[in-house]
Amino acid sequence: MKPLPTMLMVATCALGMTMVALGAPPVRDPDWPCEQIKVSELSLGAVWAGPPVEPYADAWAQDKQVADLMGRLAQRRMPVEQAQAEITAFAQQAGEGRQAKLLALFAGLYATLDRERGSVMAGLDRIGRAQKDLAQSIRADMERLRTLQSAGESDEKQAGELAGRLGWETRIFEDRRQSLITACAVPSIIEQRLFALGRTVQRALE
Amino acid sequence: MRGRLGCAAGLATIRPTMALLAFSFVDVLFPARSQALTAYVSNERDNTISVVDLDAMKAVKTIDVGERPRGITLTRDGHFILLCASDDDTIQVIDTKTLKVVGNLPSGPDPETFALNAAGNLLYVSNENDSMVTVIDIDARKVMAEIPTGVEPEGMTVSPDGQTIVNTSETTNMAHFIDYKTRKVTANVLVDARPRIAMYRHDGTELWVSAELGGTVSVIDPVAHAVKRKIGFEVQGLRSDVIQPVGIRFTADDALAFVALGPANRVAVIDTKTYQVKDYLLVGQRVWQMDFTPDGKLLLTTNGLSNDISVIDVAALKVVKSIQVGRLPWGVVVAP
Repeated sequence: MKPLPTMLMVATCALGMTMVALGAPPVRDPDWPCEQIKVSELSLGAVWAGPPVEPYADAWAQDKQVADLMGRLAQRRMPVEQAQAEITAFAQQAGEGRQAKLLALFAGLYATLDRERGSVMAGLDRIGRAQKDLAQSIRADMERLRTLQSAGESDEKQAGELAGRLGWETRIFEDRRQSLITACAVPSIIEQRLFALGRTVQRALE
Repeated sequence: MRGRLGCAAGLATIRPTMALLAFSFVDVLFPARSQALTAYVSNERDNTISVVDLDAMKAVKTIDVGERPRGITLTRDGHFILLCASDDDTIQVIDTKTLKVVGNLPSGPDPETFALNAAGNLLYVSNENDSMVTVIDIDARKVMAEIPTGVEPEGMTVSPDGQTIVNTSETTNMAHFIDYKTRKVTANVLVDARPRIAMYRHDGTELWVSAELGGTVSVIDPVAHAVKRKIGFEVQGLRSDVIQPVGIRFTADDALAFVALGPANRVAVIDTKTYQVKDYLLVGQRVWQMDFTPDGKLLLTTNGLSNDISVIDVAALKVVKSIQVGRLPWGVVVAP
């Protein structure tokens, strides 16, 4: 058998990486493209040990001051330390309805960041499935090219087209893999923010 | 070998001189320091150790160490930190007075965690990538034995009488009992998926093994080599798949056990008589390992995702402080 061209070697490596990326402990979703263990949804109990916030699920949107603050705090461009300072300042000035306002604020943060995280997770799921499909396509094209070459009577034009397609597929696969390194960290970043802000709200309630 | 340790015959030889020197400088300049409690935290992502002053409740120094520091402990005399530098395939020795890396121990590949025997002269190391437990003589800095065990060895512990070594294996899902004298596996006990930590009660009557994916702790009779009880966890408002038990610690009287529940961000407090969970303390994100202060009054937890350690008041069962450390804190040990 002729040696595989360089591009196919790259493709082989890429498939190897797929197996690393998608390979996982037994209970993982096989399409999940991240190294991080998949946690589909946030759990309130993992970020909150204060008074019940369920009764305040809709309250935050009805209080303009709380809604405006929540909207700013939820945006990741505001540094966490600044967001925490704003919560502390808000608590100090909240007056009589302080507890209700703080609980409403956290209820709003939880709902908003949970929704944002859910959207990121759905995107990662889609990319994971697409990567898996692409890996299968690369594997099949490699096999076809190998068959063409080993038959010794390959159609040069056909083999060239196939090799060209493999090159593109491999490049797309690798680009996506690189993007995933950053994208896979986003759910954790959102969780970190929610946890840090939740902790500050709880302290303000004490 | 590097530094002082490389020139000396071993830790035992250099200890008295260095201890004397360190005493004269430190105690004259900082007389209160000997009273202070210090915690050392391995930061897996930063390749550092955070030195935490538990009186001031803050990190006061960062030590650069090898790649991917994970398991961390102290020699019995408290003079040296032993640290698994997993991706450097070595165990680093760090002087607690100078906070400098002063040598290495031959650990075998990818050391993740370890356990000291009661005498403090033998270190049992789990080598995650080659399914071995390596036994190291600390003073001689020599590998005494390599014991084949299950796939992906993880947790290590030694029975209080020093006669049994227990290793858990992540992929085989077992706790392996190894005889101290013959260095042979004498029993295997099946537990739930991905066992992490094994810990004996101080009285030696039970061995507890956490299963990260199984979400349980198996209570094992170490004589019969049988699981006598399984402890599950349930927290209101918490999805069951985020309950991933890892670290285990018993109070000195064995009355309470603390189990770190990973991404549940909680530490379960268990009554060891009834095996009932008394409380779930919200600590930090992805809580992993724990250690008590020597007086048993405080319990520290490493929280990998929130990059901090939590301080639990054991009597009050209350989280009293969070202290920022480096990125991805893995293990913690408190100096005596």
